[in-house]
Amino acid sequence: MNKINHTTKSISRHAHLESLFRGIYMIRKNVLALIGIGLFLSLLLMCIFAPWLAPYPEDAGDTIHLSQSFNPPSLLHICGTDQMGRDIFSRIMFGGRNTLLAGLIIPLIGASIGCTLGLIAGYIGRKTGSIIMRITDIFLSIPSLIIALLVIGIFGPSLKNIIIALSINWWPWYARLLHGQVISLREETFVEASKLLGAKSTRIMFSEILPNAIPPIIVKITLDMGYAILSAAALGFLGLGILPPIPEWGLMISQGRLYLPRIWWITTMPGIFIFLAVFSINLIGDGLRDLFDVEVM
Amino acid sequence: MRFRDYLLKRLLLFIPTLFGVVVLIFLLVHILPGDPARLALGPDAPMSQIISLRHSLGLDKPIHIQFIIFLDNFIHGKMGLSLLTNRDVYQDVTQFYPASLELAIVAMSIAIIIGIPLGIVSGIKQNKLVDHLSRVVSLFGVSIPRFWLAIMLVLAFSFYMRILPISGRIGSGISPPTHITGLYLMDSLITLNMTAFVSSLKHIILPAISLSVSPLAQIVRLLRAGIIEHKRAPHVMMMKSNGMPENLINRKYLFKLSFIPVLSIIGLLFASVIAMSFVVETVFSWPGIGRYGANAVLYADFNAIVGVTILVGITFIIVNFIVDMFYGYFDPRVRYE
Amino acid sequence: MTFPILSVKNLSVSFNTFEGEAKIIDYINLNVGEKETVGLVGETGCGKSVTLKAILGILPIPPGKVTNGQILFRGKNLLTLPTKELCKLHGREISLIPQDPLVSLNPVFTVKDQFLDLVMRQGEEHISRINYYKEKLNKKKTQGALKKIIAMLRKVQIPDPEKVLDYYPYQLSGGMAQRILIAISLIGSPRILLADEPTTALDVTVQKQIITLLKKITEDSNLSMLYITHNLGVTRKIAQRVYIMYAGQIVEMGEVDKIFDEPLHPYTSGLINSLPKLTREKFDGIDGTIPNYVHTPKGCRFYPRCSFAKDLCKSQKPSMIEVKKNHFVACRLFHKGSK
Repeated sequence: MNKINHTTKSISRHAHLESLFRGIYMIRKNVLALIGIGLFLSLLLMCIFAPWLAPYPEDAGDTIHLSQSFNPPSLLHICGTDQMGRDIFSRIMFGGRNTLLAGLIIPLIGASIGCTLGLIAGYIGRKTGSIIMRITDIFLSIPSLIIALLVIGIFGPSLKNIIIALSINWWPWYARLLHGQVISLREETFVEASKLLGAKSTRIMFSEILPNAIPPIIVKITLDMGYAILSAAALGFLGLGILPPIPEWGLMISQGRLYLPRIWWITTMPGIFIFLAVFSINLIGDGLRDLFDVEVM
Repeated sequence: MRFRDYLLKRLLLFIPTLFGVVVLIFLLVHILPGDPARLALGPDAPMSQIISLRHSLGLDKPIHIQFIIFLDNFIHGKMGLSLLTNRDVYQDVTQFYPASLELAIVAMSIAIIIGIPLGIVSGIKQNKLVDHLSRVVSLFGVSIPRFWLAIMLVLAFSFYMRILPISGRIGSGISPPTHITGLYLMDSLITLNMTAFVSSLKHIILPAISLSVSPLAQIVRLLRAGIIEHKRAPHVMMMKSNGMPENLINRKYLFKLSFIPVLSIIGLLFASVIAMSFVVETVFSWPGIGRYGANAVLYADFNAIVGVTILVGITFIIVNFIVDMFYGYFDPRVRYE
Repeated sequence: MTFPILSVKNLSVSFNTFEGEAKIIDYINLNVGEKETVGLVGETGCGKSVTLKAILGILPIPPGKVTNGQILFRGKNLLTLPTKELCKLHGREISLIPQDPLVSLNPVFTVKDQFLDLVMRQGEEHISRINYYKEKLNKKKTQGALKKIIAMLRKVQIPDPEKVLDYYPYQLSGGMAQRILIAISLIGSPRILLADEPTTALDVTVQKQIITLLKKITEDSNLSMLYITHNLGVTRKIAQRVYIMYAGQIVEMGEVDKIFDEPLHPYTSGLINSLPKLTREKFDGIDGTIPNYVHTPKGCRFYPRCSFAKDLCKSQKPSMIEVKKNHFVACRLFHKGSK
């Protein structure tokens, strides 16, 4: 008995030290992810508070100051001015709202639809499940941007349509992911235990299986946000997204092309911000992946 | 299951899948609400024009009849007129397709040829300098918008350094090599047309690099992860302990095992190359399906949109089929279904 | 005992974890003589596999490191040998029989591929691509190697060797795979086999077959073997001497029958009492668990679980004393020659 007390005391002392070491260890291991979070939050806040933070908020719209057009980057205009004399940095801040919004929403919509379908397909199985997965497979066999182009081609370009189009493209991945997770978790004993206790199917699905399937989903949503931003920007570049004069990062790059190579800043600057946004998201996603120790595409 | 049987089984599935995709695209296009004719003519067009366009596009007939007409025409090489080029879409598509195919092949080749050795070395020498460098480079590669990268490369190499051309597929003064496959690089090599070869190479290199950066990064990351995961496996320990040379273990045994997950995403990577080619081709004025398709969408050229979508869908299925073949060859466990 | 073929002297191995340095192996000594089978017995987590990996030189070195000691194989210190020399030993002098046969073969290659590559290139540190393909094309050499392989597969009692060669690992049963691995370990004509719990992952009936096979092979070829296991009972069937290991320390060593008849160390007695017996007596376990390797007790590591513990045991590590002829123990309960 004495020995047990003795060990318990030393264990609790060690436990405090241990959690300290563990904390330091986790931070050291995930410095990159923390940088990613910091960077991304800065960009996000910068865009959300654009109306208050931007040096020249009126430039996000229709204004024209031709006398100031084509000024290279300087202290007055950090990223220079465009062909209409508008401050590019302010336009980037406002444009970010659109591009980042698209990037954040698309995977969330795709995940909601896909996860629900995958959950149902996996849990109920049999005919319904099969059918749902077949449809998913067929959607998967068509490359992403094609569907997006089709939808926009038919509905016309706008931010809303980009989001719809790309969400349609994204949901099959989540359906498949969740379907696989459910199949493997279905056989676990805690599910059987729930069934024996008389829990309804929906309850089992949403409160037992779903929480256990979440880690890969979170990692995937995070990484997909990066890809969604790139895709939205690409569509904007092609002129298939928001129409001018509203700023959007891809659109700004495309507009600046006319004035290359001498006027390089109109095209270069928005691209740098796209890169920073996606880069920071990828750092976060990688950190999350290491944390949860999952393998996700 | 022997490999031959696996091949046969996959081949049998291939044809219905192809058909299924064509049907799906057709359905998608026709079921989605929205009037292609109105879109093409603009919101101010008079009703009579819209009706007549709809009639000439065959949009006023019931859907199953439209599909049959569509299939019938397709087999006979007619896919409707393009509003922009005023030629049959089939002609447009067959003219532009080889250019995109060549670009995609070169881009994927760069990604694979550089990505695989880099991934292996990075995994084996984990946490050494080479590994850190390649991880940073991969992260960059995955985060850069490809169309923007394309523009930056053009700025650097074509405008400032003037060593590479700005656009096009081959130099303006040089005539393309004799058409055998439609792939300029291949054709000029076959016909030993060195001027055409060098010019084509110079033109293809920047767009190919822009497209290859993202797949390359993903290959490196996945391969590295695979090698790190497997290099402590019991079978590797067994081989080392019983005298197998370490570089043989790495290059042959570790590699094949780690490469299998990479194979499974090659189909996806190819898809992303196709998807991004729409923008990259626009930047370089590359005369391919991508640029054609992007324009078609921009100007609501209905037949062209359908044509491009179907062609891309078919390509994708063929690529997936080929990848499945390789997969079955590499991973015997898969054949054991 | 003749001059030992393998001699581990004062070996200490640590691992860096985020909690600190885990001193897993603490100054152990063990010897294996020629033509001798020696058992190393200990429960899971006591460091037996780490010892094995240290001998083979396959410890993962960034987290792990050898902090003290020598591992002498026929006089040469394996820890300081250059890689080229070390490679020559693997397979040809020292070889491994791994624990779980079904994961010890690469799943995407046939048995033939793996075995053949091993036989033809055994012992080389580095093989260049050109040489590899040149050798592959050398039909005569390949055929010769295959003959040797088939003969060895028959020796380990595999009924249809030619057919088995074309199998992939997932097509093999546990027993068959383990026989193949034994064949692999024998093909270089080594002098000592390191067997890492070779029957733990197998069914009981198959276990008996493999143990009998190993016994026969070591006796016929005059091989030495270091047989690692957590099952004390098995050592009785196959080993002449046995080392009992607890938490990275050797606590007892002696001839196997003597250990069973008169176990000295409290841990050994505990182990023997834990063996289920056919007489349906209740069997005990040993209270407690293995210690935390980062914060190890200074003295005897068995102290917290020992019913005979004295205060001195806590602070001073006991050294190995020869209590009877060839029967050593590291415990304060004993003095040289008596209790």
